[in-house]
Amino acid sequence: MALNLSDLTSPSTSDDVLSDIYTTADQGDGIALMIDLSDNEIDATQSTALYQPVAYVNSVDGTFARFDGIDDRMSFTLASPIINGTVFFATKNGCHSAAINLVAGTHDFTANELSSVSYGSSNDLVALYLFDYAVPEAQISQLTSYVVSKGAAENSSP
Amino acid sequence: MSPALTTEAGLFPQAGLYNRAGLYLRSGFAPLDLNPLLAYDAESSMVAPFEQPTLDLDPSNPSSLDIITATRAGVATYTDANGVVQSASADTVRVDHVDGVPMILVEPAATNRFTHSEGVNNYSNLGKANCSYSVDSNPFGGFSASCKITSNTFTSSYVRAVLQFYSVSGESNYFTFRVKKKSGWFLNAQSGNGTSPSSVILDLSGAGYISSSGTTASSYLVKEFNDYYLVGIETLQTGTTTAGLLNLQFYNNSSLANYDLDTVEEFFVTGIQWENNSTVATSYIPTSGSTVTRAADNLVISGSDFTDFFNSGGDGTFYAEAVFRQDNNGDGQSLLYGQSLNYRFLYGWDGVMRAYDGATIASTIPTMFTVGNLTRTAVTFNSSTIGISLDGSSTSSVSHNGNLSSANELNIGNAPNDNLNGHIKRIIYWPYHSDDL
Repeated sequence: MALNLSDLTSPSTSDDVLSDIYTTADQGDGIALMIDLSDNEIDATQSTALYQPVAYVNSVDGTFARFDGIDDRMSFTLASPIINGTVFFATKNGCHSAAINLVAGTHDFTANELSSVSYGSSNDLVALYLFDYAVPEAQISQLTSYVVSKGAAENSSP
Repeated sequence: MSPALTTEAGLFPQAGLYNRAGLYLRSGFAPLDLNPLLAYDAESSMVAPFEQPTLDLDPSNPSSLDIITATRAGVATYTDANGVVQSASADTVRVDHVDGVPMILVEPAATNRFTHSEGVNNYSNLGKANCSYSVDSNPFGGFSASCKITSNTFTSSYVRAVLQFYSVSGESNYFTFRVKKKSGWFLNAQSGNGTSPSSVILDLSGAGYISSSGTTASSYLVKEFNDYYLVGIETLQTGTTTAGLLNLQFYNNSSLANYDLDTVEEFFVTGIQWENNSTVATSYIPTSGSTVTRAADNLVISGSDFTDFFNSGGDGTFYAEAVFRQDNNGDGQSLLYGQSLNYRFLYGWDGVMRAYDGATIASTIPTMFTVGNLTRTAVTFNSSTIGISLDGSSTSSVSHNGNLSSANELNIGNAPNDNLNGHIKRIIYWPYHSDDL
């Protein structure tokens, strides 16, 4: 949401005004930050406007982050390595899950790539989850159902 | 790390709906149930550059306050999340809890002139109409001894405890005390000597405040916490004598009629505070034999801590949530202040919010805040304009000489002659001006 004083100070604004602002990125905005919704606060950032993906927030297209497929990317930093973990990409043309090992440090991602490994071909990211354990197939199915309800496609396009 | 709510097979064993593969379908499923290491969801995670604050002082996240340098000579008190009064060391930010909500407490210096808050029985000027005073072993809030008032049996009267103080005609005095709940009993707390003493009546059974009256009837305080009520009462000394009274009258009927008392009753009154020349209560100042003065809070962000978040020479927007105890006090109630009077980002003035750059005042008039209520206010500036808003009001804009953007420190609540007396729930700063300008 754009910063507007009367909106900001309105008594109807949530007590957690900062969260209110965080959750309402406008259509077409460059994305400088993706907030980690887990308790681990591993937020992803992109401070260079040229490399920022674009927020899509509209009733026609849905809600997702569009990477340009050229040089847009976000990055996060892991304090500890992930061994035998799981990555789950939810995109506009499919969901992808895979086993993953990641070293501690900074990792780049797009809608179809994490730390230089490809997962599908979509440029439109609906959600990205990273687990530090092997997620059972049953729960991958549950997660898939959930993200499909948020606008992701269930099956990956070839 | 294990996923939540699963068996080893990864199945949800609860009764309910299952899909064709035999998997449980919980209508309230959320990905966070799977305990991800990280989770980005476009609906909730995407933040545009403009919306990133560079400063977020949030007392519910205590580490966010580490950037503040606090200066206060001597200890002071605050109320913790359980409603217990605690002692804060010198030179610390006090996070006080108001109805359970953590807020920064900023107060000017104040003195408790009631010299024996540790035990009312030690106070020399007691009236003992039909009761005695003693120290009770039950501590008040884990901090100070409780005082016990024990009644005598009597006919056609009421339990009456009297504390006498000495004040000058024309002075305001503010008393605060804590009284323990007592089922079936009512308290009429009266203060003052002369015409129209102030009075606050409350139901000690749990209903609390009933009414107030007298010269300063609107300036009272009744707050419930745990088994106690915090009661505040202001009086304007109008008598020609210098002696005033704090009268605590306990009744066993809501009509406050005299009654026969055949049993001995005990009442617990503690944490008594007498602030002279004051019209509001401040935090508890323990005493034990002499008056005690609590120093003012002085909170500042300066040096590299300031330049790390502030857009020096550029645009900016401050947002603040605060609860004022007063609408003015000399030169106002400062919320955010730079290095001098010409760098006043936000301050209260007769109920409106203002900003001042040394040349021009931006004001939210006619929109005003209410003392005691949570107020949301914001100021934004670029090189030529200041905008200000209060509780949803449209942005009021005036010209700006550039001073605000050239501040080199941020004082939080404190300022010469206009120290805040109140609480700050949140301060956020964005290094951009708002779209209103």
